[in-house]
Amino acid sequence: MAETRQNVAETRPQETAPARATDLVTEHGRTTIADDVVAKIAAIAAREVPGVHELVSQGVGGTLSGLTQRVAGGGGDNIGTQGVSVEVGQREAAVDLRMIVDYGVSIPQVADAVRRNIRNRVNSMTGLTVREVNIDVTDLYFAQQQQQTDTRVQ
Amino acid sequence: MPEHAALDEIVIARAVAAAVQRVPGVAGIGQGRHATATYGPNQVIRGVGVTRARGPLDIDIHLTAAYGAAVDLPELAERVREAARAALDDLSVEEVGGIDVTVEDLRVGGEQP
Amino acid sequence: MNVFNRLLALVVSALLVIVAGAVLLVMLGLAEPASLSPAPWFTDRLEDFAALTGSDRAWTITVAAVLLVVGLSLFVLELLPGRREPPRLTVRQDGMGRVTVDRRAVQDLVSWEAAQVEGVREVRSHLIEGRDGLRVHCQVSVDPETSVPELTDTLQQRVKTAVERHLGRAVAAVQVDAQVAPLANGRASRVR
Repeated sequence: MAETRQNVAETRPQETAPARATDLVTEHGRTTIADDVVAKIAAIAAREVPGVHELVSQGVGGTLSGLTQRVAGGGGDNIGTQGVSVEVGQREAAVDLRMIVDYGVSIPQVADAVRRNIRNRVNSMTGLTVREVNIDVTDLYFAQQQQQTDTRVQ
Repeated sequence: MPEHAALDEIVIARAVAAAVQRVPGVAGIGQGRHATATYGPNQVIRGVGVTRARGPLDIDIHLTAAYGAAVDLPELAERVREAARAALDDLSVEEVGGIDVTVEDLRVGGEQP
Repeated sequence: MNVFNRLLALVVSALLVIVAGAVLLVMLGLAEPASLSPAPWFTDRLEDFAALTGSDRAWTITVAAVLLVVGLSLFVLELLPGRREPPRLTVRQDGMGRVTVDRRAVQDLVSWEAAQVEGVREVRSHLIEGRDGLRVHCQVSVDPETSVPELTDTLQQRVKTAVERHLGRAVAAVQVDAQVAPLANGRASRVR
């Protein structure tokens, strides 16, 4: 909901325009990269890492929203920005992520890979330096979730 | 004269839109939620705003970029700006102010389902 | 905010303990007002208390004793580890940000591991962040025909391995409280 608001921050022209930034002002015009785009890049980068099962939005059961997304979409362009919030400045960005990881992985190792990938992708695609990536693992995904519920009920 | 001016703007917008869409890496224009548009008789060009308010012509382009790990968005914006400028030159539009480019979305996987 | 509140509660309860304790000591004749008090005005107050007699004295002693107990228990409760546990466990915190895991996710992991152990019917777990590592406390209900010591051993191993592998943090101890599940079907006893 809040993510739908596209943030096109106004900036004052600078004397020496930075080589690259999300809000880059030159004499020919201004280049703006929406926060949503930065969030999407981060979301894609996070999902690329094996062990990351799903990104989940705050609040209402993460698995549920993940399911809804999978049911609703199925197409190619279905990568949203759920589970990702970004704070974008002139030159730097901070990313907060909520995710579900697969059972069996080392969370610190997966998280490290996610942080590296987000930092690299956001930097190469937008020129922004990622200062911080905070990751919260909200759930684990058990491949045989069904089996687990069965044994519990027995 | 206002009619003539409006016609000019839609012509300019159409030319810019066509040029921008041909730039590799641009997946589309005017698809975002807050996309700008230029209105003319019986037509709308979404994603390209043409403003003449402050003397020189100001162009505002809202585009969706195709996702690729090797894409450099500020660089893409620069190519879009160049394409738009070339289109304006072809129309012999003099007095162009700024060409603002906003990357408002990313499209993954090329085609829409 | 949380830390501040906690600090405030600690200071208040400590003050309560000191004052109530001093009054009590003086009234029971265990100490002289002058030897206890750091400031003259407090000495005067203490002497007022020492001068009390009869039912006034008894009442004051009772009240001071109650206050002392309340203060002490507040103080201890505030100091106890594991209180007001944060909902997340931090597995990494460095210059690149913080990595946390929801407590509930770890509890799910423990439950899942426990469900794989033969004889476990249900498990409830609780996590405590000790100084030497995580402590996992499991309450399990087991099938009546299961060997509890064996099950406890297996469960401890499994939980320790799984939590350490996933979180990358040391598990100091896994405590298992096993309870034999009643033979009768729970549903039957609910409907009389």
